[in-house]
Amino acid sequence: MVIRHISFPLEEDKEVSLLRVGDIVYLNGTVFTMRDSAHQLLFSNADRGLTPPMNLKGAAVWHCGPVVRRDRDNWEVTSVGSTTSYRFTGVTPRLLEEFQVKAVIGKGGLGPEAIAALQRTGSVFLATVGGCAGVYAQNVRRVIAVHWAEMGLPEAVWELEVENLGALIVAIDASGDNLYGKTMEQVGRRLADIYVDLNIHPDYRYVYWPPSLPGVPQVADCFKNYNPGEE
Amino acid sequence: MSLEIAIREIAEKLLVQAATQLPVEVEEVIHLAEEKENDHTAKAQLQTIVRNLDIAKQKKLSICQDPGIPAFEVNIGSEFPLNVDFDSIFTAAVQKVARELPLRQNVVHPLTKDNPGTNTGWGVPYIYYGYCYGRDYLEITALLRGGGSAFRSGVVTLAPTMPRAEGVKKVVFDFVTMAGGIPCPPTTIGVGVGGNPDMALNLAFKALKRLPPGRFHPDPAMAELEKDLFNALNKTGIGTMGLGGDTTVLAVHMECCGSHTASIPVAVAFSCWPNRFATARFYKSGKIEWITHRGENGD
Repeated sequence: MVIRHISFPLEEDKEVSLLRVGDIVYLNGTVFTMRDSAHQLLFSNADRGLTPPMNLKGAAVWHCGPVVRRDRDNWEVTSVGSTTSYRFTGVTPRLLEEFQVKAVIGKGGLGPEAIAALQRTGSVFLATVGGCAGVYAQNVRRVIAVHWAEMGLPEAVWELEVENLGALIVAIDASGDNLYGKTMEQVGRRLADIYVDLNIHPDYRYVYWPPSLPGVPQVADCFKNYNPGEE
Repeated sequence: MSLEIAIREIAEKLLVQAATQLPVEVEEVIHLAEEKENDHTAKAQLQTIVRNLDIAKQKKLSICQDPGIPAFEVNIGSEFPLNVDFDSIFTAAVQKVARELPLRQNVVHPLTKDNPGTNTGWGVPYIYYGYCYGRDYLEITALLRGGGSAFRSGVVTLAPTMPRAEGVKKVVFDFVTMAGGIPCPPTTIGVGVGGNPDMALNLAFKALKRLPPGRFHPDPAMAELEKDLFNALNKTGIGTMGLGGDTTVLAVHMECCGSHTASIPVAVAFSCWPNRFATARFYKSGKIEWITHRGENGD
């Protein structure tokens, strides 16, 4: 495990491609927030040949909609935390490959297509700690710009200057290693012994209703295919 | 000062307490988890959590950006003179705190997603009513439950011929392993056993508020299950945010209810690590007792 301070936009790709799951990152420089509508608009504009108002080459993109307050001409970020990242699985490959984003920040991890794309492009997924909106708000120095504000403030792209934004955990690295998947696989292996201790018989059907509840052998699978939606 | 205004002011203070500070004893178990954590990834996250609690307290900021669906529980003492409209009192309190603290504008119409922007409407703030015979106070609790954890909760029915205790353990394990890191562990787990499904779920959510966290149920059969589940869940290694670690649950609290002989519901409720609620008692004499937090402003 290493602790690294990395500045975005990246100067050298290997600053992220060498990170490994479990490493801890504090982020400096510029971060762009992007939620569902921002991905949609970015792609539909690109399809029509329009250049986006921000340069995402070597950038860090954060799945979040900050709570902001306007003080005369200045925006103040009062609370900022990740939304669930899993639903961005489908849009992430294009973001990495066409727009050359190098780090995606969020929570809960990404699905297989996105993990494969991180591996192909040498990029990483950085996990924020859930429920730490106060810490992360303190790490935002200022709002550099707000793009596409007409989509509503949470859905707009906020270009933020951050200082030591963290702690962020490298949860999926450029080698395709996935700390969520790894942890749940390990949980699955440990359950056998735990069930013996608890006198739980693995083949008994203890539950009568509903007829099926995603059970233990499928833990990792059901987590992988699970889309928790917006929270 | 009218009774309505007094209750509204207490409700506002409780909402601010609940949003910005954890109950003292809940914060203590988080500090304990941070101290004894051996996994470096989990340790770094728990340190961030502790720092977040300090910042939220000092700067009066929301601990988490998700205030959930604001709710109150009132327990009305039979000796407390009362003739007030709780709906309008608590609605005014939520709207004021949502505007001033602020709380994220969470509450929408369930079908149209229409958002009044006030965190109220269509029965929100939701109110749970209770009655305390022989007491001369009104007990009010403000409840803020993050969506990531509240929506991982659920209820199932055990097969009547299967061993009961093992069935309960299996259900809790299924829910916790299914949820993985989504409910922002280390979580507090409430388990309701018996009654109808709605009673079991209600008991499970009520159990989340037990203080201090980890205090056992007075019924020895229930206490034994709590102990077994607490130890076993913390052996899974799900850890902080599902990224591995020694602490997966901060506490397991069970509640039970008389049950139909053929069907035994088991409900599991989650609270994310910020188990946010605040309670005060307002006595007939006018005295206010802050139950979960240190004093009026929690200092």
